[in-house]
Amino acid sequence: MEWLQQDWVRASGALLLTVLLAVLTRTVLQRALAARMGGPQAKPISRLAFWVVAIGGSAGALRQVGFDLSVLLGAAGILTVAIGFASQTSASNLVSGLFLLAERPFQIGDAVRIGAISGEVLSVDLLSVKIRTFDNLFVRVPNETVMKAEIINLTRFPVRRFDLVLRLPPTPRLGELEALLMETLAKENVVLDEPPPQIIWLGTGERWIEVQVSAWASRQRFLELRSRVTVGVFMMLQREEIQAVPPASLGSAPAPKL
Amino acid sequence: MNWFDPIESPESWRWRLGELDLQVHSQGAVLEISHERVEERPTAQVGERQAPFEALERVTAPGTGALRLRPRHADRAVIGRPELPLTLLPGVSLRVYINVPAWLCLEMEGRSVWEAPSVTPADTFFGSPVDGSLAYAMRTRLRTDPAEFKPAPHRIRVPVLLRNEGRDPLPVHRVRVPVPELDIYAAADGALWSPEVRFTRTEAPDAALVEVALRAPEQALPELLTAAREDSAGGPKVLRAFNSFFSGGA
Repeated sequence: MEWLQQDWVRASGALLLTVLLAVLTRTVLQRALAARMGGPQAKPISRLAFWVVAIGGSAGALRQVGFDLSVLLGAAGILTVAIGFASQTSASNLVSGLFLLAERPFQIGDAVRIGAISGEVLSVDLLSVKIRTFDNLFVRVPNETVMKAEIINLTRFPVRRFDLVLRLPPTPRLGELEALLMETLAKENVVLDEPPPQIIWLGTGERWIEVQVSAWASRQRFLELRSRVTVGVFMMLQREEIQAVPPASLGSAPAPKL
Repeated sequence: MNWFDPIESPESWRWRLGELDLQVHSQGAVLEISHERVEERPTAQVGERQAPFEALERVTAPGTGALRLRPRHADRAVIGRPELPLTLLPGVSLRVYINVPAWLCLEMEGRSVWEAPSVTPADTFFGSPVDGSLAYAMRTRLRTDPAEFKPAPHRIRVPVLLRNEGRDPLPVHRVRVPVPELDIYAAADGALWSPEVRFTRTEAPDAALVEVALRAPEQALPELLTAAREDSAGGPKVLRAFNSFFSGGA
């Protein structure tokens, strides 16, 4: 059994154990995290854990065969500084990616608006987020940019509200106009019964009154809601011969490029 | 003959039911289905097909056997909003009846080939905008006597037992009826019924006990006509949010 005492045998054993431990760590982490945060998000973290264990274990194995690790660590230190200067952006993206994975402001398949980009999230990786825009373009957004930008998740909640702001000529028939607007919304099948649609009188100007027409729809039918409500309201105004001033805005948030 | 009875010779048929006028023409391997929506009718008519409507579609036929239009419940819960306010005093229970529109499922040799609601209900939402769920909305008079219902063979009557075991009066502004969990039975007169749904408001301020009866209501024949879309998981369920079933306000 003397051969067991030989350095290269112990080093090989340590190397084998390292590989097994690294694989085990990756598998266990992948399963544990996938249950909590979803498979695609868990993958980069478990992969990182694999390499940490693998490199640490390999260093231990090298030590078994008499390799002086201080030389390696010194070289690694210099290399790290050099690489660090060269890859500041990547490191920043990597750290941002880990924060994104932990914070989870969106998931794969969500429709999001990140800065000026709107689209569906294809993947959340360690360095970047991949997005398919609504006009079918592929966009890679560095994680650092994502972390710094305002993120709007368009599909997080099951229902969305659309606000149509109108400027109308002053009229003493406000009650009648409100009833007409509500009737218009009630006719649209896409408008949810609950939460109820609302007509909010926002204020008056010299020659106009401002009114907000708000209606809810399921997130899947939001685009249909925008179109139907806008067309329905303007057709009603035309029918009633009310000349609307062009809308001040089309929604409480900037209109997405949908 | 009831409108939901199987038809052995499926060549060419027309059902006029609720808002739906449906025509089916069998062309061997393909079923030609045309339909249009009209005002809701109080009667059901089954007859020979005439010229197809504009809305025309074709579905591969699973066979050449019996054709059947089967009533099903909606695929989402129905939120009944009482036309008149109702308040349940503490310690009181009340049995009411609501009349929900059936979904019409065209089947051939027992396989579903096409489905549509007999009356298109409005969409609604129940719960908070963050984690609620989509449902169908309907106005209901919460009738206490089913004999008061106007004839509507395309609607399914659901007995609902409301119990207030809390200490305060319970205003019932909306009732969420889990229709996908309900079986359908037919009465001798062809009326459609579902088992009773019992809602019990308990002492806990934000909890309700919901239970679906496992057998046919007394008004219907005991033979099951259509099984529920979803399993009601047997016994009563205690819901964390009382507002998931009743609502205290708009």
